[in-house]
Amino acid sequence: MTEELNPFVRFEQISKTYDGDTLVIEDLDLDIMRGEFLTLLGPSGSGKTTALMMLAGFESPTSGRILVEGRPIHHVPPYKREIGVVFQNYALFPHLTIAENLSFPLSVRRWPAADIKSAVDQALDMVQLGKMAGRKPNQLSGGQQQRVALARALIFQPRLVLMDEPLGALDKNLREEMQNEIRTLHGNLGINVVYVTHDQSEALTMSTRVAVFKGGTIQQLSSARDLYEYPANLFVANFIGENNSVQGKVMSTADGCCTVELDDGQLARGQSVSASAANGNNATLSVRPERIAINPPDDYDTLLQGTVTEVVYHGDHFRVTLRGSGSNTYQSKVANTGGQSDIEPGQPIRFGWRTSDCRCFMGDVGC
Amino acid sequence: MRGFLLIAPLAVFLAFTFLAPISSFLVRAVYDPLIADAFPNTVDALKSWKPSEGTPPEAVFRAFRDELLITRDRGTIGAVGQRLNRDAAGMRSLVQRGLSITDQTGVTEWKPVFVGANEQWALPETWSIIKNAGSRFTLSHLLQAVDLVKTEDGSIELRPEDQRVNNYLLVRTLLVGLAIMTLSTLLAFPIALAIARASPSAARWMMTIVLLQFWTSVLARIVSWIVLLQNRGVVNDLLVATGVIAEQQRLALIYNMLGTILVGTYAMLPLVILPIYSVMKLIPPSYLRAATSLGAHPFEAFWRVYFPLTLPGIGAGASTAFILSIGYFVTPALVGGQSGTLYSNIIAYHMQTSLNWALAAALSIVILVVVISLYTVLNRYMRDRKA
Repeated sequence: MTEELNPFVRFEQISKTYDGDTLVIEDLDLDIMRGEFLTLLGPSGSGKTTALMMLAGFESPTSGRILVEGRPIHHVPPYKREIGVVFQNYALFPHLTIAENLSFPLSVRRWPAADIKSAVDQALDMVQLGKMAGRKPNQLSGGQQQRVALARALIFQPRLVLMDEPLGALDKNLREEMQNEIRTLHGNLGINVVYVTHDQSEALTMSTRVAVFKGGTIQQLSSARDLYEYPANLFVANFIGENNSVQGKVMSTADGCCTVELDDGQLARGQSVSASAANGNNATLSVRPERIAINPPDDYDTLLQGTVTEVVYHGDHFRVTLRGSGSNTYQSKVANTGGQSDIEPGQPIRFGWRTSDCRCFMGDVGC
Repeated sequence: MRGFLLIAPLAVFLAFTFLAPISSFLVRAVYDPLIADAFPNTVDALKSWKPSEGTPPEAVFRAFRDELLITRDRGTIGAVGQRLNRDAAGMRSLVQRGLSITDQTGVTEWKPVFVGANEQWALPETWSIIKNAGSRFTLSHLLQAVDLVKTEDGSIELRPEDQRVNNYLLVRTLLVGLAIMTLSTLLAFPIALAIARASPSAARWMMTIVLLQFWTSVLARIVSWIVLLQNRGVVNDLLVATGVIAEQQRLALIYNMLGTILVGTYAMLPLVILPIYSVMKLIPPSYLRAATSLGAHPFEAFWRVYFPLTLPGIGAGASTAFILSIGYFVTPALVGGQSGTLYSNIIAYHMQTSLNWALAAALSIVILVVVISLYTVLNRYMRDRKA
């Protein structure tokens, strides 16, 4: 058997409905590889948490099955799944001390007291909370509680750890610190992590792969880099990072490149994403603000004329709002390398992008 | 300051309707000016007299005769007789009959007149009762409330066995309270759990059923229990009809301590369910999920995580049930019979039948002290647990 090549977790045709009518998750197929840090990213109500809870065993799929290491787990109750879960609000037991919280998973497994003690001490060291052992959870700061919740989910050495927006309640600095800690732990322990978040920067910096959820289906499953550079559709392009969406009509298609006529009659080019690009169709061009160059070199294949409507100083960059002669507006991020002070509102200007930096989706912005 | 003004009307209202009447009633336990006000000169003359000296001097008799007439004219002679009779049976008729001789005129020595009319006026015991009753402040009611008595020589000892009823009733009341508390808590916990776990619409219905008894008059509810539990009631009829018990073996379910406990448990149930339910509602479902994800069997997760978190609710509900059942009055009066009578009933007896308000007040003080000390101990225990 080529066991090692099989995915660690496999969702097969999973659907979930609560009311028998609306599907929270629709025909979900998802493979999670061994040792992977997979993030489920999406707006609230997109089904990402439901998917996680089905894996943990707190929800059961309406149809389809979930396999862990090739074995279906729908008949395995949550307490036998050996999956660590870190909950959104930490779910530390308020009536138990930190040490008691950490020993809980071991004492329910009837470990000998001495083993429990050494494991708890080790876990406390791992999260640097040795001095807090005798405190109750509400005497700890949010970040400390987070660490305890993490240590508790890891202490019984599960091979799979699920995290449901674990950093949602922390402030920005603490969140970045914890992101690093979780990433380091994942690397050191060689465990599988499935991580749910609606914070895209968290998803991009931590994950091996990211699954973008919308309306119960996965829009795109790929590495963070591919997600940003090559979004599969307009939703992903808009959801991940900043994006300019520019509408127009397809004029011609050649070598995977679309030429699109904008509403002011100017021509722009982008990579064709769907095979169905036919002349005369509505199309939406998607280009990142930092890829729109002002006064670009002549080798840029999309060159447009427009006016500067606003310049906002952001320290390391300027944010320039541009308008073509029609109704399309463009956001451009211009790195502050010195000497850009000559861009002023009202000034006519030339701007553009490389075809490789622009994606051309069929249909309108709204879709 | 502005905050105080907002609650000022309530404070004034409570002072007039709650604190003032209660304290003025409780004061009666130790403050009894009736005799001192009716016979100021007699009491004064008795001050230097000791029972060991025998019959008091003429000055006492003279003062007593004058003040007896004044008391008669004031119309308080009945109250005085009753008050003295409480300390020693026979005093009322003695005073009443004494009244008939005080009208004589031209008497120079009153002592022989009184003694001639009734030998008892010569006894030091008679005068010592008047002397003792003449002090405005007395501990005798409080002592009586806990079945103690102050003897002639000033030492305090237990009352004769046939007069000890209050302490026995106190213990019985505490035991009944304990039984009602235990039963209602045991019944309330699963009900509260079911409501907390039910869907919102089902929970609304269940809560309505729980609260239904508050919408009915307490008398109607108790009467319906009588219908159910009495000798020829529904429960006994059913048991006989199904052959569980024979016709002659009908169970005594009511008009005894069992009746008090059964109906009391029923009355306390909502008051225990509500606090337990409200605490359960606040326990996030993620705690149980976390416990099971950490490997605990659902039963173990419930016992080690959920149950300890409901303890504050159980504590609040159980102590409410206990304290309320200690002060329980209507139910034991109606369904308690002889063996189900509780402390409040004896207080009511002294207020309404024996008209010994001072003793009623003293008994109230005893039960108040017991409740407050139990509450304090419980409170401290809960606080220690939390810390």
